[in-house]
Amino acid sequence: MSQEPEDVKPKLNLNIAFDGTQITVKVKANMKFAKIFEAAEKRFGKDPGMMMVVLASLLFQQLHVSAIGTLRFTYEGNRVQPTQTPAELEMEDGDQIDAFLQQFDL
Amino acid sequence: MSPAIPPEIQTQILPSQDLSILELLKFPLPIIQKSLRHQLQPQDFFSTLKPTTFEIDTIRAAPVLPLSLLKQLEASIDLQQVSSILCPHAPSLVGAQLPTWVLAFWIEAARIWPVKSEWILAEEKLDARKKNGKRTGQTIGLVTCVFDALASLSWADKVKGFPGLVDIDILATYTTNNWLKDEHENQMLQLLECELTRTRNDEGVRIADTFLITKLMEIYGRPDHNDHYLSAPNLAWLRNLGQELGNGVLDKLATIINIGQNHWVAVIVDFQCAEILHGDSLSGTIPAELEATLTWWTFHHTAQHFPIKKLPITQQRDGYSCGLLAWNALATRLLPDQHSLMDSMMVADERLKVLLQVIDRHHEKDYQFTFTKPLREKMPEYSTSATVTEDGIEHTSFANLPPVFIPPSRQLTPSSNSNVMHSHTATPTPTLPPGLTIPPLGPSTLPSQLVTPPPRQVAGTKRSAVDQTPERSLKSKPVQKIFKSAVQKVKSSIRNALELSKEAEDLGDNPKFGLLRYWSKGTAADKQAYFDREDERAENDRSEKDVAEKTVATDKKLHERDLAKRRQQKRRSLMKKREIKEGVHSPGSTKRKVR
Repeated sequence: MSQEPEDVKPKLNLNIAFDGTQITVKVKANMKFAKIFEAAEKRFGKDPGMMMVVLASLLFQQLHVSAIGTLRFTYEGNRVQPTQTPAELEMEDGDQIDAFLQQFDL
Repeated sequence: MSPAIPPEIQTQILPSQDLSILELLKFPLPIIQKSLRHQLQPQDFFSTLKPTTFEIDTIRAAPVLPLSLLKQLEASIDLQQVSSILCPHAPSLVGAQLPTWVLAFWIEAARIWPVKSEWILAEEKLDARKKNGKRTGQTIGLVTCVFDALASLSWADKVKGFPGLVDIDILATYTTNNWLKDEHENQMLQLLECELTRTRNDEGVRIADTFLITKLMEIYGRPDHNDHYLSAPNLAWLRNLGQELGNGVLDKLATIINIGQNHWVAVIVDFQCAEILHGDSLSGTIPAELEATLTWWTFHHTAQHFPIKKLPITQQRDGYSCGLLAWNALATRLLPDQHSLMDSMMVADERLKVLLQVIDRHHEKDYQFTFTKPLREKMPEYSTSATVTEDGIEHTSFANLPPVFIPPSRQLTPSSNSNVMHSHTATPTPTLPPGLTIPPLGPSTLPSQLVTPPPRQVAGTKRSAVDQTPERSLKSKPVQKIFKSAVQKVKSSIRNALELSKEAEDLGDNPKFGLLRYWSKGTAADKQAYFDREDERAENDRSEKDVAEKTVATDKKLHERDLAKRRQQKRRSLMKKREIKEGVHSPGSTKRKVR
């Protein structure tokens, strides 16, 4: 038996679907979703933290806001938290995460 | 990269993350410079001279630059040459040279200001409501309660106990007339789900978040929606849900749907009564796409056409209450004893009531966090204790039984779908929540079987329909996920100890001691060393075997040679005796010539 532990885990290919488009990201099972979301938002052209920019724009009136809204991510109908990891959700290779645009009301 | 603010100064000029929202409002931050007199370049702010002032009041007096300019400054500052920051944008501070860390202070202040401004707006709205001529005693009481609640919330915290882990400043929207977003709607749906659970009215009702029907509409929008829905492995959870509703395991699906990115409507898909209830606070009819999607989905799982009916809902008289009224329509329908349709003139008060409920829920979860964390950090002390989780189930741990520890990631990110608190104590015999039964594992249902669903059970016996072969994929099992969240797995002590040590290692603590070192998982280097040792041993074995074989062969050869030698001697001896007898050979061993 050996003495020191080490996490040598294979990477997962996760599909992220948004508005009819699907991208694939290769991630470690213990990677936080915050990073994955950030990458997905960039790939889908939705800047992460856009709401902060919108709020800042109200104050500073100088930032150009090209789009409103960030993405929400669900897996099997349940909301995925940025602090969770694929391993926590028992995700497997080829699993799909659904992304939705932030919704407003009137 | 700008230099960091000295810690002793940071506590004076920036609000601590522990401050409450009301304390944040009192905390002085420098004003925001909205516009500059003339175009300033980053070089205009840099000086090679040493700072002339470190006074906190002077630094606070300097207005904060726009965030875009601050980012330019941060990117272009050269700390080898720049020794101080100038304030050409502040007439009163022209000539003043501030320390370079003032740049980090301005950036941080510019990031805090949007949060503070949200709460400033909330405070103004609450004050205005208190002074409004149409105020009632209830309004004043609610406003007071909200202020008390804001004094208990940390401004930098996250809202706990709900699906989205969002910043707490999103709650400020409840105090204003701003539009409600999906985060608010999902928070309200979660509150409704909790209320249903606590009043034991959740049997057969599924509260779905705002994205479920959106997903269904996305699927229906595909030209091959039937094939895709039947075959896509990633939609197994959705097919399972449909099957549970179609089989009678669940009665109703209630949710709020966003229409056209600007309006919320309530929808209850009642599989028991075979109808779809649609509640629009603007008296609108159900959108064709939504109707087609729901009709397709319900027909798919029941082979029946569900008619669309009106869900009673309060009519909207403003431009911002549809989200609240849609939620109220659902609550009134599902919990008629606890809720009633609200007065459209009292929606502002109702928003405050929802806010207080959200804050209560946050505190419940926040309390669980602070309750469980110190216990987890300690090593276990085995004793008898009872823990009552929020679902009312009492979990008892017995003396001398090792407790089950929950990884911090689970504790810090509570699953909103789980209404069962993960207790830090072991449950010797996990019990099921009320209303749940374990369906037997059956063979997978083929997609084709979904087209012709089994007949629904009659009322009163439908709960037994759980065992009607729900579709089971290898990994997507919503029913099992319910059990996963509801029933705490009892793990082995070794596994628990290893998980604890792994967490300790992540935190930089000494992770292993005693037997844990023996049970540890090997590293790649360890594995390589093991294989090297094995190779060496095999090599040694091989060489020893070769030597042994060679020795045996040599011995055998020597032995055979010896035997041959003896045979030869024996043969010669016999020949000699015979020759002596025949007279060919003399007894004195001298050979006689044969004539």
